[in-house]
Order: sequence, then structure tokens, then C-alpha cells
Amino acid sequence: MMSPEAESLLAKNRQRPPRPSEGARARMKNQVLVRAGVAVAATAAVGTATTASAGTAASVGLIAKVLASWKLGAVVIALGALGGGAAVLMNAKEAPPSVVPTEGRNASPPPVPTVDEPSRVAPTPPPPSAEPTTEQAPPEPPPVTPEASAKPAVRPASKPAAKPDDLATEADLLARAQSALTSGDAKKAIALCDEHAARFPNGKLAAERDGLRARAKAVQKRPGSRPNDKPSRDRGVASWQHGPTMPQFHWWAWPLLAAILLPWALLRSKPVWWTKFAFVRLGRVGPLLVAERREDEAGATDYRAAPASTPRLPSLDLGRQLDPEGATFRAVGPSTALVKARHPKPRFGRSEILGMVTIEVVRGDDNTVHVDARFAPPPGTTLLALAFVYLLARGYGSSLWLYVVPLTMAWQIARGYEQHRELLPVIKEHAADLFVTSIAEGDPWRWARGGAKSEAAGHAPPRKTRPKRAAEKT
Amino acid sequence: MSLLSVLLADADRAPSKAGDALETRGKAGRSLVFEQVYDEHVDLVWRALRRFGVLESALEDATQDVFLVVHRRLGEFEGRSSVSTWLYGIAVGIARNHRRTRRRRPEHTTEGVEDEMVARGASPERGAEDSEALRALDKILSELDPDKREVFVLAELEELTAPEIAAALELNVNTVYTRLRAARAAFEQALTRFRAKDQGRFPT
Repeated sequence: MMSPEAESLLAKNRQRPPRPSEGARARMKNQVLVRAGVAVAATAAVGTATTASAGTAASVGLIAKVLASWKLGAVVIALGALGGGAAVLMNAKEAPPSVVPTEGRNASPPPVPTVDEPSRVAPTPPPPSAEPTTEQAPPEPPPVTPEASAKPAVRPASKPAAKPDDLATEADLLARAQSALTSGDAKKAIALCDEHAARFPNGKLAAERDGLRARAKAVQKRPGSRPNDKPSRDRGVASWQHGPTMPQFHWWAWPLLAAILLPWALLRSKPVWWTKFAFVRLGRVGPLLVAERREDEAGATDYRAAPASTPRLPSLDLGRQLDPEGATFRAVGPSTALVKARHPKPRFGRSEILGMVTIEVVRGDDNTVHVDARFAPPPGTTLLALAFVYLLARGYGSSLWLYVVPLTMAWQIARGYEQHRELLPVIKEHAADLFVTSIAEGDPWRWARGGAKSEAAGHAPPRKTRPKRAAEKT
Repeated sequence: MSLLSVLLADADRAPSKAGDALETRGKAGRSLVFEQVYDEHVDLVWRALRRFGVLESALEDATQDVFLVVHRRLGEFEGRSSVSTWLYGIAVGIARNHRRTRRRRPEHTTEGVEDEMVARGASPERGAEDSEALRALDKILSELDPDKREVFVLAELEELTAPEIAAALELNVNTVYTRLRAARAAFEQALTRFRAKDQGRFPT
């Protein structure tokens, strides 16, 4: 059982249910008859054509079926559809929809499906009725296509006052416009409406033309909401546009996304030329250390720090500023390692993993090797940036909460910069020191290639066993 | 709603067979003319579609779609259920189609039709009261799941019996009872929420 309040509400709605207005009811009826008139006309056309050729009901049904399965039948149906459709339009406006005017007949059964008149399915020569279930008609009338509608109309009746040719042409034009609109071509629909307006400014279907044009223009203004719209780049945007003030992001969002993604992908791949370019763009001052490749008399390759181009690094107190155990190096490219470090100062939190610093080891010209480090925003920032651009592209720009994302991003970057401003020199020195150590050990790319946690020589316990490759080399 | 979508919506129904007309007439026992069906049931269809959640702006189109299906399928109607039950079944399918379309292409509701409809009240007070009840019901119904909403509308507002609802929705009768029970509970909850918001209070 329901509560008295609910019962009361339901009783009110039951006693006085909503009803359509009289105008709406008549409008809907006319529209239904017009839309169904296509099917009626097709049925009538088959009936007419086959009656003229055969003359008996049995042959009418047989020939209609044969014709329906052939192209000729389709053409006849299309021709009849135009004439019959025009006739139904006339009937809908002028008289009760009970007469389908055809040549040589004064009166025809109503163009509505009935099941109560056996005379219509009797073997006597049947009138071209609208029954979808009688034997002389195909069970499902073919839908009207623009090609079919474009065929010249059959003269539907000989009423001089009705001007059937004009009406048929009007109906043809509007049917094509409707088909165009249904298929999503609003421009063509408007053009056909304009053609109708030029040829029949005071035509019988002027009101329908104006309505169709209004709908087509509305569809044209909202490309994502057109009927049967195919998936496109506008579709997702339009589906999220809930207001007229929605900014149109879609046309530039994807190039912007590509402009962000492409450098990001290049940065991830880290080719040598790109890292050099990035250093310039990021305002780097230059290489931190330059090592020189030399070959001794025996032909062995060796790397030595070039003291002329590299200032001597001050001695590091990693225990005070940077926890060497917490610093990890991970190779992410042929000459790039990613450093994660923990800042030991309490104000940053001991357990917090800070943003990353990318160590670049670039083979330079003249047998030199450049080592550099640069600030890298936390990986979450990159993801947030991508999410932000994606949401903008999807049309979420009107939501205020979305702007939390860039604010968070800016805060993260600023915080990371502030932390790295102190940390970066330490990491640089650490990396340079590590690299010099690697050079001294004979394998300068060991740490960049190994990908594992690397110890700073002199600050971490020495390895008990040398790396396999280094052992082979020596 | 295009004719194509109507055809698609109706595609899962029984295929038409040539020659069903006479048999249908015998089973139905009475004649059915489209215009008569339209005149007698257009209010029912329009009202049902509205209560099934079709937007005001799409209501006329949806009603036309229903009667297009009726126009095409009238000869296949076998009279095993009443015409109104048959129409409810078609209306449910069309309303589902419209809901899917609306999810793909959200649009704003228009109040024009409702205003026109509400303005037919006997007196201004009565009209305002009807309008208020109508809006409250719409708001509450909109919070129900589509499945529950269909069963609830047919049972409580259209006053169909459970077997009739089962026939219209092509469901098991027990499923209808289960959904109706759940729909009533959801309706009560939604009504409580609506009243609380209406009075400026919020349920704690």
C-alpha cells in the first residue's frame, strides 16, 4: 500500500490526466496521415499499375509481387508514391481522407488500413486501396528514398481546382528536403525549401515548407544533433554543449592536444638532438661536465674528465643534503636517466618522494660527453595536463570545477620548482660525480644503461662484484 | 524521430505475413479503422508517452511515431489483447527509443506544450492545482528507473492489471509484481524527497 499523500497525488493525476490540445491533436493526425501517405500511395500505385495491365484481382496480386521484387516494380512504386502522396496531402487538407484520386476512377476507398471490408480482397477487380494486408499489396511498403522521390510524379487526379501537378511537385520537393534532412544534409534540405519557396511562394504546402526549413536551420546550427548524425569530431563536443554560451573548443582542441602530446612523446623518447634543443628551450646554461674520449696506445677507449671545460665540483656532503640511499637512477633512454630523490629536510617531509630530475648524458662532438640535469615536473602533472586538455576538447569548459585541474597543476609545478631549486644542484653534482666515477671505472654508460639503483662511488659501499659487461671489457 | 527509427524500433516485433487480415478480423471479431483508433486513443497514447518520460518537445513526434506503427501494423492486430494494451506496448517501445535518442543528443525541455495543456483548467485555482500535481508527478517519476517507471505508470496511473501490463511489456506477471513493488517504494522515497525540497527542508 502506498501512503495517503502518494495516493492523493496519483488520484489527482488520474482524475484530471494531461491531454493534448485540440490543435495538437489535429496537427498530429495530419502529420501521421502525411507520413503514412507514402505507404498508402505505394500500395495504391501497385494496385493501379497492375490493374491496368492485368485486369483481374488474382493477376493483380501476382504481378504486384513480381513487380515488387524487380527494379521495374520499384520504379512503379516510386512513381505511384509521388502521385499517391500528393493525393493524400490533398485529402488531408481538403476532404476527409477517404479518397485516393486515381485516373479513371471517381471514388476510391479511404487510404487507411482496414480489416473489415472483405470486398477489397475479393476476386473482383479491386480498387487501389490502402490496405497494407491485402494480397495485391506488398506486406511492407518500401520506404521513400530521395532517388525514388525525385522521379516525376504521376498525375493523381483530374480536379482542376486542386492543381495536382503543382501539388505533386510541391510534395516531391518537400519529400526530398525531408529525406535530405533525415540523412543529415541540412544544407541540401534548406536549398530544396528555397527552391520550393521560389516556385511556389503561396503553395499549399507553404506551412510545411517553413516548418521544414526551420528544422533544417536548427540542425545546421547544431551539427552534433542532426538526425542520424555520423560519428565525427563534433559529435562528442555537441553532446556536451548544454548552453548557448558554451565556448567552441573543438576546432582547436585536437591540434592543441597534438601539439602537447608530440613534444611529450619526443621528450620521452629522448633523441640526442631533441634533448639539446630542450635544454636551450628550458634555459639551461650548458653542460655540467664534459668528458673526453681518449684512446691509449693499446687502442683501449678511455674517458677522462676535461678539466679545462669543467669546473671542479665541490665536495659533496650527500649525507647532509641528499640521501644517497634514497636516490635512484633509472634509465629511460639511450642516454638518459631519471633520478628520484628524497629530500632530507623536515619541512619537505622525509618520506616524500619529490619530483624527478632528468639526467642527460649526451655524446657530444670531439669525443666529449656532456652530463646535465634538468627539472622534470612530477609525472602526475603531465597526466593532469592531458586530462585538462581532453576535458576541454570534450566541451567541459563551462564547468567551474574543471579549473581546479590547472590550478592544482600550477601549484604542483611551483612547489616542485621551489623544492628542486635547492635539490637540483645537489643532484647535478651527485650525477656528475657518479659519472666521473663511472668513467674512472671504465664504463661511463653503466648507470644509464643499467636502470637499477646506482650507488655513488665513495658514498655508498663498493660493489663486491663488478658488472658483467665491465668485467668482460676489462 | 525519423521513420527509419520507427522501423528499427518495431523491427523486433513479429514479422508481417501476407493474408493475415482476414484471419485477424475473425479473431478480433470487430473491425478496426485507423482513424477510429486514432480518435479514440490519441489522448491515451499522448498521456502515456508523457508519463513514460518523453520530453514535451518530442511528444508530438513520439505520438506520430506510435500511430505510424499502428497504421502499418493494424492489420496484424489479432485481438488477443485490448487495443489500448497493444498501444501501450508500442508506446513503451517508442518512449525507450526517445530516451536513447535523448541520451545521445541531450536537449532542453520546453514548457510551451505543458502551459497550453495546463491552461485548459476549469478555473485558475483548479488549473494551478492540476499544474502543481502534474509537475510534482513528473518530477517524482523522473527519479524512477525506466523499467520501474513503465510498470508504475501502467499500474497506478493507467490502471492496467498485472496481466495486461505483462502483455504490454512482454514480461512475466511475477516480474511485473516485483517491479511494481519496487517502483512503489521508490516512488514513496522520491515523494518524500520532493516534499522535503519543496518545503525548504532536506532529509537528514
